[in-house]
Amino acid sequence: MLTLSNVSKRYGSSPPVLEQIDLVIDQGEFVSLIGPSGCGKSTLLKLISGLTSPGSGSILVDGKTPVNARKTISYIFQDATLLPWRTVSRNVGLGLELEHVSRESRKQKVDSLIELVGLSHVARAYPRQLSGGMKMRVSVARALATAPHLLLMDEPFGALDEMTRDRLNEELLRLRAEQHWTAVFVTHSVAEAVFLSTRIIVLAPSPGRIAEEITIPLPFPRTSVTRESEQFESFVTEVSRALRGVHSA
Amino acid sequence: MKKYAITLLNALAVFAGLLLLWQGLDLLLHLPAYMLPTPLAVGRAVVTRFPSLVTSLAITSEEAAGGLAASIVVGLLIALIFAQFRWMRRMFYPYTILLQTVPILAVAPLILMWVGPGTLSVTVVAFIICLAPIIANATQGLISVEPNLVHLFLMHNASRLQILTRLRLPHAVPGLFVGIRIAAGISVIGAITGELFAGSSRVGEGGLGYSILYASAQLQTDYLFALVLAATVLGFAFFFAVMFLEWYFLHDWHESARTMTEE
Repeated sequence: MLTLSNVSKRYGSSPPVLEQIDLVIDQGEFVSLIGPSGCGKSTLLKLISGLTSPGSGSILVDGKTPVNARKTISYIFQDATLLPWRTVSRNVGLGLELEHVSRESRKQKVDSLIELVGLSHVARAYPRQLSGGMKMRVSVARALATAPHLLLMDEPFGALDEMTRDRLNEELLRLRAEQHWTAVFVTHSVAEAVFLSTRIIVLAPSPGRIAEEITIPLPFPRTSVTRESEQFESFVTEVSRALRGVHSA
Repeated sequence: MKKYAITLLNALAVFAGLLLLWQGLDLLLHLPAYMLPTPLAVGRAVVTRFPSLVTSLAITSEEAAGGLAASIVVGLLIALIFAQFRWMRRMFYPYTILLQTVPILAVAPLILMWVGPGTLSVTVVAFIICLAPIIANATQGLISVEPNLVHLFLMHNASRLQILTRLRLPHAVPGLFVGIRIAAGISVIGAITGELFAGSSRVGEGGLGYSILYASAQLQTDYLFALVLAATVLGFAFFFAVMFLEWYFLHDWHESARTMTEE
């Protein structure tokens, strides 16, 4: 599904942000990228989306270059990036509109997605009337509206309080169970990464490189009960230890 | 809207108080009417010369509105070019600041010479004075779009045109209105300044600026005051018209327009 081989990236003449990244992600995986700031997590997402191009190495999404694969990729940013002059439904429909999907099929998709993320009651509201969690839900619905194969998420819930974040994590997994996209998820939170992922990539800084890979075989569906299990705790401990190793290096 | 009405009432009360003070001052000092007419005399001038006052007002408001409208169209076009081509912005943007610093009093006679006397040259003066704030604010609005919003559009393979019409333009509307609000106020000043030089095709009849010159030459100080009052009212009318349009277009989503209704 996604193959990065020998990818390096530097901005100008400064030291490389990423060096020799080799990574293969299979269909249906949920991979989290975690690491200290400056390890190039966000840059890696930008590379996979084609928003920046690598200095060397190659990236293939579904066998295509990132820019050519964009129709099947959706990107969820750190902030909700909603258009304040559009209502919730028109924000959710933005991607479809830009891709020239007809009005009728757009309306159908938008309505069902808004219902899926539980925002039917505010479909005609403007972003300023929504809470942070609701805005992020709109952002998720907008990303899913174009039926992506690959969902790239750059710390989407980083600005939310823990309760809201946990709930949105559960909803995200519920949506994934229904829609079967592959996900690459950047986060600072070990617990969030363990809860969501099938695999966690720990990145080391300067230059950004893969330090460790940890598979999380916790069974799906994962719920709030999962967070209280001993297994969950032990994975959190393992990932935290790996992160500490990267920090002290 | 109720808070709005109360603010308006307060302002009117202050105005009435000032009028009373002025009338009282006259009783004390007994200044000759050509030096300082009483508010009552000014009121009389408004009533007796109402038709010519309205004619002047109409001429000036037409010129100011024409200049303002033209500056919005041309200013927005220039801003669009600036937003699309960075090199154009680098080359020409500094000159829009020049446009703002040029003393309109000195330029007005030149424009008159080039365009010829009459309402058209006055409209051009108003247009020039309005242009800079429109260009500056519209350009700022068009280019200050958050990078991630542009990324979002790029991820959906949006064309340059789509990014312009669905992202940059709507994003620039609040800024554009800031520019229009500034321009609306100075458009009246521009028109009156233009008229001070442009004269009139008929003796005793012209815009507010022309009539102000005429009235002062004739020592018709009461009518002069009436004309100044009319000019002020015109400036206010323009300002509130723009405020209303701004509220109408933006109150759904933008903070600046919202505070007007909810403050």
